[in-house]
Amino acid sequence: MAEKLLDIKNLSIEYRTDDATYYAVNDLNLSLDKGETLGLVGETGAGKTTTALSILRLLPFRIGVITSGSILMNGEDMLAKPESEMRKIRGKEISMIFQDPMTSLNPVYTVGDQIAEVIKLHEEKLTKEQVDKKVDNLFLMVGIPAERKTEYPHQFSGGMKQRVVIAMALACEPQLLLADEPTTALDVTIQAQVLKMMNDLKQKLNTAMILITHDLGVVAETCDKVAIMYAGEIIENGTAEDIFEGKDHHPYTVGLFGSIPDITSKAKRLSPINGLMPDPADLPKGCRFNPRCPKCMDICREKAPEVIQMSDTHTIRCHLFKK
Amino acid sequence: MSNTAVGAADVPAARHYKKKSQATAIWRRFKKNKMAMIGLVIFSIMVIIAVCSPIFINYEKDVITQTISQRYQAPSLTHLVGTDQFGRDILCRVLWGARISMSVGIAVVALSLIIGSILGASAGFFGGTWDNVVMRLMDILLAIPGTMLAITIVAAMGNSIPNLLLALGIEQVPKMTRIVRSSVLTLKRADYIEAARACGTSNARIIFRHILPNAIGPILVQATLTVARTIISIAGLSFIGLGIQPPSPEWGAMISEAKSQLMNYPYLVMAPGIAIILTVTSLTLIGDGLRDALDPKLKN
Amino acid sequence: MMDQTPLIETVNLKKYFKTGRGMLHAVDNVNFKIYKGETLGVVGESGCGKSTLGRTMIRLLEATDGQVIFNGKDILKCSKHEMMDLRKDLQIIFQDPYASLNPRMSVSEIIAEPLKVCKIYNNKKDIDERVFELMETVGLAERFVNAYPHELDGGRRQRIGVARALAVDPKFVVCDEPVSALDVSIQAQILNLLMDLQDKFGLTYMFITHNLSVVKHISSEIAVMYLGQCVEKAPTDELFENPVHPYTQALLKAIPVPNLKARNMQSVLRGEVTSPIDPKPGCRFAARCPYASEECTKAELPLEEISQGHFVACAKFGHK
Repeated sequence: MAEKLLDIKNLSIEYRTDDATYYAVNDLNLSLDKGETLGLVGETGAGKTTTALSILRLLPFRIGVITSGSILMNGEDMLAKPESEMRKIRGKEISMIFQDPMTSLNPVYTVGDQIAEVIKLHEEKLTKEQVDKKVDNLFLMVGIPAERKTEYPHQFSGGMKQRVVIAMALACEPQLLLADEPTTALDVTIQAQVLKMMNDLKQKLNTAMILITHDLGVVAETCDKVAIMYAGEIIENGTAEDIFEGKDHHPYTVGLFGSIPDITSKAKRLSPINGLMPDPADLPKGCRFNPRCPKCMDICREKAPEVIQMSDTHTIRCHLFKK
Repeated sequence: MSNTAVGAADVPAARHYKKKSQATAIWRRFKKNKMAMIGLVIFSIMVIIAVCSPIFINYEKDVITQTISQRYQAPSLTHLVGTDQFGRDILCRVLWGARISMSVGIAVVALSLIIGSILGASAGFFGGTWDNVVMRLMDILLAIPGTMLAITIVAAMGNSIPNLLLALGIEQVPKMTRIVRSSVLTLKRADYIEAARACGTSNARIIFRHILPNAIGPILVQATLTVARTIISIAGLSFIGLGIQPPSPEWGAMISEAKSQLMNYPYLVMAPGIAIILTVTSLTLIGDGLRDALDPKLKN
Repeated sequence: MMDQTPLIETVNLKKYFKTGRGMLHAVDNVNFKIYKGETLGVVGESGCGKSTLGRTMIRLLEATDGQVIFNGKDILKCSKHEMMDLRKDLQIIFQDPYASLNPRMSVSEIIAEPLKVCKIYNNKKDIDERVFELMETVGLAERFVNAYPHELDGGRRQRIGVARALAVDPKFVVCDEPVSALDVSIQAQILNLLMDLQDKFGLTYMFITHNLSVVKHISSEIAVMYLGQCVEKAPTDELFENPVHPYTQALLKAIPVPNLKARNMQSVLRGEVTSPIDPKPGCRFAARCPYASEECTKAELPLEEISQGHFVACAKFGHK
């Protein structure tokens, strides 16, 4: 069997601040093959961005601490690498796109310069002409006229800015792209354009992608695999078919689907989930979802559930499905 | 009604809930800053001295009365820092000097605060021609070097406390106006200001109830730094003979009077000098600490 | 329809902004009728003018031209004194639960503020009672009465915003993207709350959003806006079943649906929004429209009723 591109096992991350310790991620297991797209779904505070930052070792210095687990990329232990090697990896083997295109670009440099910078950092042997040619190619790839490379970020709209950011991320043809809610801040028609472009590029370059989002619609359109996070844990994991068409689901997943206003349904009232996500400094005993779960049993308040293997590809972390 | 917030039903009927204002959060952050706390302690001691000195120091006897036979005495048990060229106890004079510096400092701050807030808030809030007029006026005042301006006013209008306040105040008003104006400019765009307008809130109420309480942060920082600057300015003016006149034990005046004896009796100059350094440094530390503590890095 | 006369109506409403580069047409010739107890959903993407429209309708911004007729009176012509009284009837809920609450005021102070400004109650006791009543109505636990906004999450803050808007017993509430900044499960809670309040108090809403799925649940009628113009207006079900204007169709197709069988990335709208400054006459969508022709930019296109209650402004499809 081919080696997995990314293999995360039992990852736990804490944020240690003066006020309290936040248990941001707990015993996370995740894997990705070459060219696959994984949708990491969850609401604010679930730990999705934390997970992505940990892959690149970009957690806040001294505050974000990986307390256990391993992250293997192509079989190599990412957590053991020195910072100098990580710098070579960031932008080259693994790239990241952040959520807000408005603040991701440096306002005092032209967009062409910013993309060229990424190329020059990782491929020092190229001549100026070669770098320029690469930049032009990238602009073509993301659908921006190459003449605009001498313009500044403020002269671009939100959608265009995000294309520039995507061009920067793909400049060195990374094996893995981490996209943190890349289209959340964009209008829906622009979102459609950008998602289509990302899909096309992904297929062309065979880049694996972890797409972080709270929008199940976006997941349905772009992802092969889906992992749903709640309060720092993956509570359900499977292929897109398992999640969207399977019949067994974690109650939180059911709640998420119920909260989404769906234009194809006729229901008048939505059925949201009661309550709020717990404070990561003060998590409930047992299953973290138990205070809000409509199907909560006694055992849920006492013991944290194990991961139940529903099929080859589908896992759920819930006492309801214990065999 | 469906799906209310968790806990809506399980709270008893008692309707007295403690009010935890933002001041406590700011105080907590301030307390963590060691340097700022040191500054606060030192300055508090200065204030206590300033307020309480009449209790243990008699102005006539200890501060003013000249006893030539006792002049230039070295530090001893009776005179902890020695005596000056007129036989007056240096420590008593320095401690009394705190009153003078504090009161002038606070008076100038109050003046610049009131005038600066009115001008800055109205300029920022209403904009347009009024804004232009006010800011150009402030620009003119800022263009004149502070010390020169003070000297000119005092020299032209005579050396009295009101004139001194005017001179020092004029230097500080433009700075306060700018700070208030820029705070108001940022704040007036906030949605909650629009919400206030949507109920028909008057402009005055918007400024005083909604905008100014949120602008307090930078204003407070500026105020502490203003006191510090003023104390230095006064000392400077007194040093060249234009400020507080002897026999008042103003620190700058004391340094000026003693400068000829710097080599022989250094403690005559050092004592008031150290007092100035302590006061100004502690105020600056407080100001910086406040600025950091007010920084809205509130995790949402 | 509930009544024959609409509760609030705009007639050729225009709002332009003067900029260095020219006249920005934020809202151009908008004609809406909203009846008591109903919700008009106003949908569109950034720059379509929907937020400006909401604010202009309740005179938070002064209109450039046109009329807003509320209860038979043109409120744009009312004096300052008359407006003070009318403000009680016209309220607004904002999008950003962080920026719309004064950080230095407690929950009760925020909710009580409109009561004090409009002088509805004279004494503290009545005001306090009303604040508790409002908190209960919007589902805020009593224990938050002296809390400050930064201590609460987005959903609770938005409830404060709703309570504040309801404090003066308004008749018409502009909801400016009230759930866009909230998490999905909280969005659903707040939407349900707004719908319950509408049933309970007979409120009339203008619900502004860019999210078509959200607006479907809450609106009886939907208006689609593009660059300041209304391009299509129809009862909710009719709009979703039978979208006529090419922009409406593109908008509906662009929504990602949480359903694997709906995977369709092929028909994506090309291009970007054109500039709203000194726009050319006619349809502003023409630059991106796959069906555009010369007809589209010759002259202004009015909304035409192509079927009962369904209006479209389109040179090609906007006729019976």
